[in-house]
Amino acid sequence: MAPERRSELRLVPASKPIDRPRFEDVLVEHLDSLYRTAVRLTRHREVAEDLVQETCLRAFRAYDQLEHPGSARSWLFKILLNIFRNDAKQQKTEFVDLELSEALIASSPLCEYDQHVVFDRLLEDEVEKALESLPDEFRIPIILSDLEDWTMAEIAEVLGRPSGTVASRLFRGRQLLRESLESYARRRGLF
Amino acid sequence: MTCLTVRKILLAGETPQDYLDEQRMQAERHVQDCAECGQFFRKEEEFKLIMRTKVARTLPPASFRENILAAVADERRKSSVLAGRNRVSTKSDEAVGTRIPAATSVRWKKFVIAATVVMILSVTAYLVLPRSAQESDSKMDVAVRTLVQDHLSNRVREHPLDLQTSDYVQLQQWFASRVDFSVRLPRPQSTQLVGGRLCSIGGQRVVSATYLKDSVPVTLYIMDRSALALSWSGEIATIGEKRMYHSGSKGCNVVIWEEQGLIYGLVSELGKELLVGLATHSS
Repeated sequence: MAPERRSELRLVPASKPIDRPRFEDVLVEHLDSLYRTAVRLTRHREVAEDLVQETCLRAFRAYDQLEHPGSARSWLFKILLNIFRNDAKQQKTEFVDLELSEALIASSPLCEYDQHVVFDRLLEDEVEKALESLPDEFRIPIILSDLEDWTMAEIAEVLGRPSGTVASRLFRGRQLLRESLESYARRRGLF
Repeated sequence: MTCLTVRKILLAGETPQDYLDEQRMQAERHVQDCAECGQFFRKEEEFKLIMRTKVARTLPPASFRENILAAVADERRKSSVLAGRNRVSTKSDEAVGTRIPAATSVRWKKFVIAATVVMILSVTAYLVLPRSAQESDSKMDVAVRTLVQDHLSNRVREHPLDLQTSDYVQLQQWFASRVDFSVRLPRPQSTQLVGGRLCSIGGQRVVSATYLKDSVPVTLYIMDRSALALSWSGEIATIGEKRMYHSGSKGCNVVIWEEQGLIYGLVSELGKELLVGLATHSS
């Protein structure tokens, strides 16, 4: 029998903590984006500040549980959205899982007019009101995708929903928003 | 592959594995060759871009970052203290307990009684005060708060002005095609016109021009009567032919007057006398 080869015995090192950056250093990178999104969600600056503060404190307490500091953005936004949705005063956002269907795409007529000509003459306030009037299930994906430039996969991860559902909500949300803005534009005599 | 199928595949968004996906590559080739699909996706991208430029990027207040970091620092201190306490023997903790010394208890009771009396008096005063004065003032209060809110929130926008210009004629012409009333911008003495924007108040389009007086921004609003429900009571002064209402909110002074069927409002952090002077002596 061959002698035991001690060199093959590997001592398992004692588990060492993940070398993670300081919480505050991770947080400051995303503060402005968290604030902007919170304002869009709550439609109120002071409430948004409170929402972001609560998010930061909960995130701080749970920072050790963050597996990959590189995914801090989606983790922070998940906390933000959970607090927002759980707020008793807010209507619960019903994210019914619904894949993007050809029927939904077919229902949207091809836009024949010059959107720049029509929509550029609308006021920022009018566009913001149209966005704010959307139900949360459409508004949230639009905020994250079109205003904060998130990918479909990132939005799906934050919302905890399949990409297909997010794609469907995004498409339908833009459709509703476009209809709303067309209605504003018609009232103004823009087309 | 039909146009609808292509649109469904491409609208579903990209994943890192897409470069391997033959179906997705076919769909992308289709869009290059199909005029209708090409137009469809161009319009989607255009709409996204319009949304991004139209919807203001809201900037947080100056103290926001500090406040958040202070709150986190506070939380960090608390969790350190808690961690420290957990290591100490519990006997000493029990001795401290939650007993309130007798003297403190008496002072606390006195405070509660005093606070209750103040509350009762406040509620009584509210109920006893004449209603009509309150209701009239509240309409003006709402008007003042609306204008101040717009003045303050506009300052933190990334693009606070639609048109940056010191040329009165150019700005008036710009407004002329955008509102359904005649716009004649006042020229307050010793101020510099900076530019203007359109805003929406009470569902109506409102003209807003920004001036600088000694480097302090002054926002002028001009609107149709229907934009703000006003009731002329409260602090009114009649200066020349103008009947002016003055009030303040959130550190800003506001002067409102009516002229030729239009409502004018000036909002600024300038002092009341200075602002009334600007309103009075505008040519």
